[in-house]
Amino acid sequence: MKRLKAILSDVLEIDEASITDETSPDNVDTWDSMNGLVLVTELEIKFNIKFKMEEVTSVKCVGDIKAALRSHGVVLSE
Amino acid sequence: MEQKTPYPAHLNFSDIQVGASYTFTKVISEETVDQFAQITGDFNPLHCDPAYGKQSKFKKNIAHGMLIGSLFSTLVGMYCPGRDCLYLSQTLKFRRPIFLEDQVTVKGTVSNKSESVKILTMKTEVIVDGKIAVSGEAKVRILENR
Repeated sequence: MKRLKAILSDVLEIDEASITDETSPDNVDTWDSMNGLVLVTELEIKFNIKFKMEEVTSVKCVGDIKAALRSHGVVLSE
Repeated sequence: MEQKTPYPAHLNFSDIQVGASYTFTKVISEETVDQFAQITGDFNPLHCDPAYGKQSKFKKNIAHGMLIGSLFSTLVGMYCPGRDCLYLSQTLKFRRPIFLEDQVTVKGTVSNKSESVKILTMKTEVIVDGKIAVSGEAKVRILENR
């Protein structure tokens, strides 16, 4: 989770401490459509995975990102 | 007299391979530096006043860093991917000064492709005399269904 939080913090320019599973475009102003796309590429690069379009469109919050990462075999330590 | 606008390349996402490089060259003339100063309002004497430039640590005027950085816009908008490009982000590091009349090579190397969102990540460099003067990373989306 530390690695994921660092990526989210960097792309969305938010404090790591403020990130929870409920963090989403609804409660983070900087999580706009452009940053959402950049976030996808950064997650793919940093975790060395490739998302499918359906996965990208199904993500609504950080909790969903964690689930998507786990489905690609990424281990997220708390 | 009608002036024709140069037309950009038109590369599709599938045309572009990770590791591929795209380059172009440009001479940074005094006129270009003056035009950039006019557009941005940055008339700092290090760029625009020959007497000041001569007395500076560089011994002559240098180009604006952002003028050189702006060539990455040309790289993605005209060369790779060209026409259907949407520029998402760019990081910049100014590593060496560029002097008036220097010929620069602008180079982009594709380091990653995100198929799901059609985004390219490119390592971007401006090279003068074989040395990197400006470096950074660009992210561009290809709008295949405009």
